[in-house]
Amino acid sequence: MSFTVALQSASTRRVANYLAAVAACGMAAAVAFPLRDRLDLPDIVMLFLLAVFLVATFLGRGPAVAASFLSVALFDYYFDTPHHVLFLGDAEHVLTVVIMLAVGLVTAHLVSRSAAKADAARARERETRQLYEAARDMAGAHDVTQVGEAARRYLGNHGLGGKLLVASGDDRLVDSLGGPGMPGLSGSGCAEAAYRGNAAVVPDPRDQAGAALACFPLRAPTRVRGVLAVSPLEGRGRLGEEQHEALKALASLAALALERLHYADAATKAELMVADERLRTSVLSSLSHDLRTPLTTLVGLADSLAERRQTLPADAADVAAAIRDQARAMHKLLCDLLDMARLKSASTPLRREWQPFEDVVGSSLRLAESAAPDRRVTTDLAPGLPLIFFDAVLIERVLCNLLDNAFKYARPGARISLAARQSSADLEVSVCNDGSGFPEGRIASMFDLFVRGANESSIPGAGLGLAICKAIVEAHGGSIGAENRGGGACVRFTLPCLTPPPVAIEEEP
Amino acid sequence: MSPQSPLALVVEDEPQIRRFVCGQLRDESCRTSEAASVAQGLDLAASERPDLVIVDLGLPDRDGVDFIRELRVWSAVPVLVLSARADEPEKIAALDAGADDYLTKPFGIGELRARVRALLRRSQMQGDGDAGALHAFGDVEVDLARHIVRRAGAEVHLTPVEYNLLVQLLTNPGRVLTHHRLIDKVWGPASREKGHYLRVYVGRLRQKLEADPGRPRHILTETGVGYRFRLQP
Repeated sequence: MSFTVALQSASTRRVANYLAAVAACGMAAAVAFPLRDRLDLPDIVMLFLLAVFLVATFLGRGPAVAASFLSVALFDYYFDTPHHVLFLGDAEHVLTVVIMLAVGLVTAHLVSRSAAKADAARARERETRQLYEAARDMAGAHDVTQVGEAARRYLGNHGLGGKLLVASGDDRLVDSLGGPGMPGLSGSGCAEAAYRGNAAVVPDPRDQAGAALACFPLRAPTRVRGVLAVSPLEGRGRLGEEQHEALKALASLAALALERLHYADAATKAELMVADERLRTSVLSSLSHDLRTPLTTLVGLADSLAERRQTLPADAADVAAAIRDQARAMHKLLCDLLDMARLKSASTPLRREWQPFEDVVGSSLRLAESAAPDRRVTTDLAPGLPLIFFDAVLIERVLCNLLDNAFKYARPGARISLAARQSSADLEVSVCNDGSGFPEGRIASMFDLFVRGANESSIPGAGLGLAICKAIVEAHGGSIGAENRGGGACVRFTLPCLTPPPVAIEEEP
Repeated sequence: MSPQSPLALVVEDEPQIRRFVCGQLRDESCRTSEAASVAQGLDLAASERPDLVIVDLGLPDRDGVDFIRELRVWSAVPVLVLSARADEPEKIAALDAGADDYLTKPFGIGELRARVRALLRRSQMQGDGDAGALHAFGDVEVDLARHIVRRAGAEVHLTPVEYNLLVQLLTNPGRVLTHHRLIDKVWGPASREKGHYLRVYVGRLRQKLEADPGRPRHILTETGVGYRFRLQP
């Protein structure tokens, strides 16, 4: 039903009401006229009063006023002596008119007030039902789009258009529904202002020419989840202030729905991640066990054979030793690959403890030098280093890898050095050799997986060592880098010096 | 092989590993006995009374740590654990359950035989009764009866905590002592969070007793697990 049709029907109804009022008075006169000799005048007045009352009740104030005057006129003309003379001058008639007017006006007012109340109650009920429907739709929504659609349905029922802008992960507002943009929304900054300020931005009621756009923040318990932007559909005038409360209610419903979706989503993701991690861990550990067992056998059996130099031909013993060494190299590769996989997985816990750095240097030197008995490392540890918070097993691995590299790429008898000192908030460790240095231009990529210093060289290795060092050092919050220093190669890494717990040493006796 | 030669029990489910381990044990002039599961291992340990037990931690029927715990209820036989790398918590659990030492897979026979010899020597010493109050390593002499520590003839002053720590290490030569165990013995079980104290005090002992504290030869770090005292490098 369009607006003009509604207007037309209203004016037609008003004319009809007046005609009905006239008819009612006429009916009263027609009923009273044959009885005029038998009834007293007050009874006849009562009859007209009844007519006025009925008109006021059913037809409203204007027809009631008209009926009052018409009734007094008819009464005066047909019933009051002298008959057929219209004389309204005396006090008696003035009183009758006043009473009839009063009855008509009071009745009409009472009726219209109760009708208004009933209308308001009906409107409230409709409003509540629509909000309830929006709430129900939003509660059942499986994604943001459905929440947006529920909001749009509600707004559509109120002659409003709108958009649900949802805050994305990077704190931007994203249109949940897509579709055509809202006029004036993108340029006005209304949505941004409502989102950042966490307060409704509504048009100024005095500024009738300005934008009719209103924005309500979607306030959820934990944060603002977006903005509800509303403007009247074309040709529907402006947004009434009385609508603001309902729109705020809609906004908070949408906010709760979005919050629920957010946490449901987060829970699903977490569940998937846990399942993923569990799978990864179980694959890694069974791989590790299944590959390590035959390697252990291989190393052990080959080693047993190689030891029998007295009873075996020399070349057979050499072959056995070679098998053992290759199996060991393969085991090292396996460990490197598994370690890399573990370090890359988010859930690998570092077993960090407060300990002196000297301790791990000592154990690394013992391991590295026992594997390369012809090498000797010079150490230069600054005295009084603080306790450092690190995973000793992993840092030992870093030091062993770096020493191993320094051995491999240095000429025999070269000087290998390991130094550590504190510089501001970090422990700075360097492992250097005086060998050929790193190839220029390759230094930056050396810490990437499977990159080697000398490609296809006779030096064994898979290019995992430095990548593992990098992963371990970075997991500790440190950094690692390489450089060439006057006829040698240096790898430096840092570990953060946090605030160590106090150690109370007893007095010397 | 004479019936007086020591008996070693090998509890390992992988037959090939069992084979070369037993081969090496025989070369060390041990008699050997083999089990492939915890249940069988406990049976043999009870019936044959071995002088050394070598146990793999990954056994099919039950956890190797359970084996050690049950064995320790009634036996003080030295136990050597075979375990995979990067399993420090497992090693620690085994050592805390009562194992004496561990070998990380894969291991060479040199390492295996060195450990076996050290453990057999210790079990011999236990059988011979007290090792006495006098201990010596490197240029250090310790008189436990008189609480005196000398290095190159000169007396070394140790604080009570340093001395207690040294006693713990000295009386368990060759054995891996976990951080927990040392803290329990020196500071008391209520001081588990004092891990950094232990490490600082080990550093101080090395400063006072090791020839080159940066490359200790007697008080060795078993990274991620604990410490080991080695009498002869």
